Amino acid sequence: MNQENKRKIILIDDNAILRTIFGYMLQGFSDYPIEFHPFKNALDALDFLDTHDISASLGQPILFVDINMPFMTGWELMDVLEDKSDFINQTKIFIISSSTSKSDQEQLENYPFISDFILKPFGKELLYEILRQSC
Amino acid sequence: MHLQRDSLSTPSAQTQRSELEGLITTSEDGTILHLNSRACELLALDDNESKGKKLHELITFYSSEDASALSAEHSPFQIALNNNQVHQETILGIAIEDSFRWFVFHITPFTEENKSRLLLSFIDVSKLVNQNQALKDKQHQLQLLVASLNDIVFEVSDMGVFKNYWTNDPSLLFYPPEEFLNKSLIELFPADLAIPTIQLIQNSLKLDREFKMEFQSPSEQHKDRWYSLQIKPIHRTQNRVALVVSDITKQIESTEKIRFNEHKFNQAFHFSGLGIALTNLDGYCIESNHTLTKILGYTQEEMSTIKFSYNTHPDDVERDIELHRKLIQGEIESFTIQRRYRHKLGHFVWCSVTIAAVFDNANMPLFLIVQVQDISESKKNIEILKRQKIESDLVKIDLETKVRQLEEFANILAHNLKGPLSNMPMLIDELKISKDEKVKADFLDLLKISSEQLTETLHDLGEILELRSNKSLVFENCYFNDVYLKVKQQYIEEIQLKNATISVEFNVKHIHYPKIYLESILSNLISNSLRFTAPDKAPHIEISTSMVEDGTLLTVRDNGLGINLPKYKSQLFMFKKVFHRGFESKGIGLFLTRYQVESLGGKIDVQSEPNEGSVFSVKFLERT
Repeated sequence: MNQENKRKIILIDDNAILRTIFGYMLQGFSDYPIEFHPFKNALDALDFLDTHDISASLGQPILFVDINMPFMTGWELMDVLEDKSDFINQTKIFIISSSTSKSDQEQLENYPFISDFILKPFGKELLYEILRQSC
Repeated sequence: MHLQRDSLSTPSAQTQRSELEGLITTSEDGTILHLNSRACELLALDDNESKGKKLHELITFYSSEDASALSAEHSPFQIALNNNQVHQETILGIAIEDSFRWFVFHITPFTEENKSRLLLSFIDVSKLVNQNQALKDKQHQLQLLVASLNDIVFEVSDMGVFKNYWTNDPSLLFYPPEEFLNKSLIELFPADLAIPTIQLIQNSLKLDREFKMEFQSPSEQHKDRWYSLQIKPIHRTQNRVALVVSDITKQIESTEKIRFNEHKFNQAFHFSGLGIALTNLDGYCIESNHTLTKILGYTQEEMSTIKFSYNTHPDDVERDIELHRKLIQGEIESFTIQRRYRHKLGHFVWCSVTIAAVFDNANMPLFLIVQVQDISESKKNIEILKRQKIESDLVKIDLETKVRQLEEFANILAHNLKGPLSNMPMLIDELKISKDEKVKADFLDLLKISSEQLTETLHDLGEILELRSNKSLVFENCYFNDVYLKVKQQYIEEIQLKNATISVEFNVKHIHYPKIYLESILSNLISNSLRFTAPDKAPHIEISTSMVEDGTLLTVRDNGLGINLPKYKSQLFMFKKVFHRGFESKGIGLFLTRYQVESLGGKIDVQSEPNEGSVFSVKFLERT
């Protein structure tokens, strides 16, 4: 019951340090309760999404996805999600990457369901703003 | 003679003595009553035996018209009796042995003692008849001859007046006969044709010899017709000649054509940019042109004394034997091959040679036309082009590799450096504002890890950059087996642990290559195979080398996990890519291997399927 009222935040990034920092940042956010699920690769995340209902009364779930990861890149994950229209309709999706390459910017246009592209490094203010805006 | 015969009632002594005339009297039914000795002689009858016998039973008479045998009823004798008329100069023949003897008969019916009688008097005209026959035959032959000629023959007087003509086809005459007969050449033809003709006629008569001239048709309409005029004196009539006019337009045209063709061929032959030779079937040069001399160095005289094939490069001699046979037998019209000929100076010249055969009317080969083109220059150019293409292909591959490597470095920069780097400001920001000592300590640890990661990545990159500046590489003769044994030593522990077996088959024993690269490549491939093993099988690795199209191929085959190639192939040899969850792997091995192979122009490839094992193949480009 308790979990029902927490907003689900999912981070998919192969960099363990980022996952840790991200977790610390979320701990400092006190507007509403959050349930944080970090994954080091997209396959593990997909396994989780297949077996868990992440919908909650409190705001849409949010996915933060890195691009450059082993086994399945962020873009490949987008290809998988693209077909799950129910999921992308009720989920906010953000790309987080240190890439400034043109090809990654162009890729973004192929997935209109992505809310925004967040460039690493980013501060917790930006993260909090996103959490507040996309309530 | 006639009077004498008319006055005869019975054979008189006079007629019986006659030396020339045969005389016979017969009764109405042809029974011989009297005959003189000349008659016996001429008709080959016996005087005593013949009397009282019927003439037509003794002798068969033949018609002079068509040499057919005459029956008794149709004989002129019977007709004369029936009509009671004198028949004069009836020619009849008798057959004696193989030839005819001809007689002219005077048949006179008369009455004696109220009985009808016939008096036959005859002389031998065989000679005349035969001569006549010969003349007739000759005339007939002449007609046939004239009919077979396309010429017109005129009999012309010394003043050029037409007296007579013979032709098979009157339409060939210039004018209707009545318009030109008895008219002079001068009246009929333009002066420039008539005057020389009359002069020739007179010369011909004067010198008693034949003259000949050719002229173009005087008529505007037939300007393109050509005629030949032969003037022959007709000896017996001193002032007559025969003019024989023949249409020679066709000959003139074909002569012209032949002359033109000959000229054309000559021009083509002697001024051709190709070397051309006519050779007999044995290959001896009958004639050759200057270009051939330029190509092969031999003068035309020298060429004619040597067999053409004698100068062929020994390796090329066999090439056209079959084609040559087909050519001579008319199975092919010509053939072209490339072969080398020895120049007089001793070097060989690459030539494109086309040989055609010329046949006579009976389809027997007469001689060969050999056309030779010096292609050594273009051969050389082709070689140069080929070499240049290989060079530019190599440069292209090199450039493509470098471009790809640059792109990869940009990627490495973006993902492998920027990623860890971006963590650091985030950590520092947190450190700045956090008041929690525990969090601060954690973050400092993370900062340390980040910096270590960065250092490691930079180190890996440094290793790769080192590869790119391969100037200091030492190429040496590397024996695969030695390198393999050395590398195997590094993994001896892992091999024992996993109970792995390795089999080797080095069909190519060694290559010229930097030993450290070869060690590194083999080490990485073996390491890969040992690491990603299938849990249910004992690992087995097969290593082999073989000779392929343009280099040595090294293959490393394992029975391990395999790779989902359609999915990962593009990333397989990339920097820090890992494809197997649950294995400790930095993902730098294959990247490094690929770099080492490609930096020296080689190629690395993989064939694999999940759970079916993998085959890595390295193709070395050896630099000799």
